Amino acid sequence: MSAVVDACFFINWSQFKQRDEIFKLFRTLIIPEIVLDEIRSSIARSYLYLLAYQRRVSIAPRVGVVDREALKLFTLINSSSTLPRIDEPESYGLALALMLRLPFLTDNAAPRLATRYIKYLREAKVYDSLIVLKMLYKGKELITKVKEYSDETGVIFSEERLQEEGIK
Amino acid sequence: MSDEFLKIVSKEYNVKILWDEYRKVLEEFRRREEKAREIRRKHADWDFINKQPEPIRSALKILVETGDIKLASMISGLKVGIIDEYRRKAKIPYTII
Repeated sequence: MSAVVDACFFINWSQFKQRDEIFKLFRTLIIPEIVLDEIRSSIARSYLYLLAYQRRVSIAPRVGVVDREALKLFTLINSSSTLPRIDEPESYGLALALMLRLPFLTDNAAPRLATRYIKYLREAKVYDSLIVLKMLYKGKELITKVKEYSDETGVIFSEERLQEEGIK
Repeated sequence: MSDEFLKIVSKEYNVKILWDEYRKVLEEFRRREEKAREIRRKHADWDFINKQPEPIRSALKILVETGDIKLASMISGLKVGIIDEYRRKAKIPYTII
């Protein structure tokens, strides 16, 4: 199985020392072409080159049918006055994942929250880095890896988010 | 913009919104975001932030206060990738709520 990846997830995950372990879960990572421009950090760029060379990443071209779905998601999610926003590349990634019935990996809360209140998104699989860590590791090792991930990437998970995943 | 807008848009697209769940999500988000803001304020390198030229300085301040890099990008006119580079330099944590 493959997964569609958003820029924020890829940038964060690329800094994790055990980053290659993600390929135990997903054969390839699909990055929408529109997302590429957002991946600017040198570590993330280097990792992207390496994965391209290893043929573990594929770039999804921008196509009209996905764009139409992305515009719908973009408008719906950004219509909330309070919840976090989604940008165009992210909504494209979510639309693509939805159409391909693949998981969407993002560290932005907006798509994950939207799967709770937009009925037709309830079937969508939206994973943040904590969920991916939980899929990779169990028990004490999971707790250790979550700490390592935070130390290495600068990502801090809220107490509530950790409790939600049964980690605290 | 109130949630009236979401009502109009969802009707336009013929999409069902689970309003009870939406309100629950809103409440959770507000509570969690308040704590996340405190974490970002505490960890941020304010000397670095205050030394930056505009619009970078304001973009970083928006990011600390809201955690919303897209909003910071829209208001400052800077690309998300550029703000994210400065976010790291400013030691503003990426908070996942």
